[in-house]
Amino acid sequence: MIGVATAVAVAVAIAAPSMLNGYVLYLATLAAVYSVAGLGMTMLLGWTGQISLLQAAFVGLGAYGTDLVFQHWHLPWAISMLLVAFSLGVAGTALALPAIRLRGFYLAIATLALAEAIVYGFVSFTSITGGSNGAYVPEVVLLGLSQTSSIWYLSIITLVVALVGLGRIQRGSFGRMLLGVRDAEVAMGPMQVSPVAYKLAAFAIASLLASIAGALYAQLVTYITPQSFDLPLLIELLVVVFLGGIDSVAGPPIGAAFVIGLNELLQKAGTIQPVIFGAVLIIVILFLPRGLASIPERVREHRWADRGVGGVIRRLLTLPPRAAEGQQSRDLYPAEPSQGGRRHGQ
Amino acid sequence: MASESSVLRVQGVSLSFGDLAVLTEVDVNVDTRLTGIIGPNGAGKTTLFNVITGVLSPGVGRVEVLGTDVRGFSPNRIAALGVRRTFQTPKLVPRLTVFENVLLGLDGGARGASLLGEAFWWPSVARRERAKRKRARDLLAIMGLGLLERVRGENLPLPTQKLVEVARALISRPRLLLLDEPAAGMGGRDVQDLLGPVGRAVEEWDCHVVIIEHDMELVTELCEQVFVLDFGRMIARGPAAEVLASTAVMEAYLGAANVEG
Repeated sequence: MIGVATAVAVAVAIAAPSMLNGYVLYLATLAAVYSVAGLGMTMLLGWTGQISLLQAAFVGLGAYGTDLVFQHWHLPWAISMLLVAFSLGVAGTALALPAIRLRGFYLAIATLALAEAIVYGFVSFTSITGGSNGAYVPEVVLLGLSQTSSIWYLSIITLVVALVGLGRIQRGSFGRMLLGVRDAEVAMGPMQVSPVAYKLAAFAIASLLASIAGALYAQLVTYITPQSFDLPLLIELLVVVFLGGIDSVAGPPIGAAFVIGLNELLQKAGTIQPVIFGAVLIIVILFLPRGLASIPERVREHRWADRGVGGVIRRLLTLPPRAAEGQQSRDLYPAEPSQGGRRHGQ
Repeated sequence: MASESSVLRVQGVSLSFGDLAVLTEVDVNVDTRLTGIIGPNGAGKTTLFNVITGVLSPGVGRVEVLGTDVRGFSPNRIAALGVRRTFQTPKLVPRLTVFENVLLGLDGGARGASLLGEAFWWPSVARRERAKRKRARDLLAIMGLGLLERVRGENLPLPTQKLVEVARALISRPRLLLLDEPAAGMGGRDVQDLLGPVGRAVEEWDCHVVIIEHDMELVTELCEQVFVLDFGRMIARGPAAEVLASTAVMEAYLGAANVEG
């Protein structure tokens, strides 16, 4: 079943450039690029709980940096991209070193200020970035392919590698420790887990993914300005991440597809487009606080399944109730998170 | 009583939060396998644990854990010596299952390089994870938690959370285990569930256990040596029965504190 689904997905990904028209392919590539940057954010903000708002600026650093190395050092594009990505991974870690002493809101403000400074840097260093006027990025093609197909394949391969890698990391020991740092930090040190080390590692991976996303983004749009990496991109990424859901790696791709798709659907709505967009966001977040990716889990936990419309459909289709399928629920005591028990023997 | 033979040695430790002296010249020398620390609420027992595990650093004094002076050590470095602890209010990771929480007890001390290995099926990393899973499954079965493996920490009742926390501490086979009020809020059966594995740890790999506990019966029954803290000062020490029986004043005082607490 999973094998078949994978085969179909691979076939669709390979055939996409010939099946989709140019604009739709562009949107799909954009969604993939957003997902790559979003995955880094999911890990850093979601799993590790470090509300860092540097991601959009680091996408910018990746875009300008890769362009710079590619044009001035005459290295192959892929090498330039990876070189810049690893450098920015290190840089992101170095910047995080002072930042992780801050928590929550304060970390958010400090990183936002830094992000704005970086964007200001893009405007100021006109000799490198072209300043506010922007800069054209020389296009790169994979052998024998058109530019748009090249960037699609590069983006989708990057996304798959990031998805697989982060998905494995999340389910393994590293992911457990990140959640531990987020939700039980004080218990981690006495368990031989250094919270500082894992926060730094999360910053490193997030910066690295942002940088790669930036390089891909520059190739996709071929013309970059400092404004491309300012607050609007940051907000868009935040929406992608939290709307998609932070509990699994499926969140960012789902969030990106939803945001970009919805934006397109609403193009015809004219001036009230942002209002409808905002309303949809509010509704989704209201009913799915853990994001769109939590829908299967919500169904499995049969909060809907045996009630309301879902229950009716189930009964119409005479599906057995979920619990009878031998599926052990994760929520054995769903009623309350019991805290503060009674004292014993007093 | 040479420092080699003592598992934990706290000498002249003082600590204050602002003007409030929380610990004043506390001396603890653990050389018995089961040691109790008792005292009324606010006596500084948990603070003492925090100092030992490096969560707080003492203003004055010396802490020696398993023969190593741990001044200036971070909590994870102290833990690396073979120390684990539990908390008064259990600190499980709410979104992780019981199984994953216990696995977390084995995750510490990982090398940075294993990150890439984890992401992309490095055989040795996968093997290590499998070994961890087997150990966790075995321990959970022994502790009677097997059926709860897939329940999330946030959905467990408090006594079970405490039990899981003890499992998480035990799984790495610590040489020094600090239990902070393990029996508080637990029924008699839960306490037995908890003490069985701890007793086995003591027997099997010579684990030394220090217990903060309010339940005097339990302390008398278990501990070979007891230290009494009051207002941050060590006011008595000795064999459990002696400390608790001989000083009638003590008894009354602890009784009074218990009525209040």
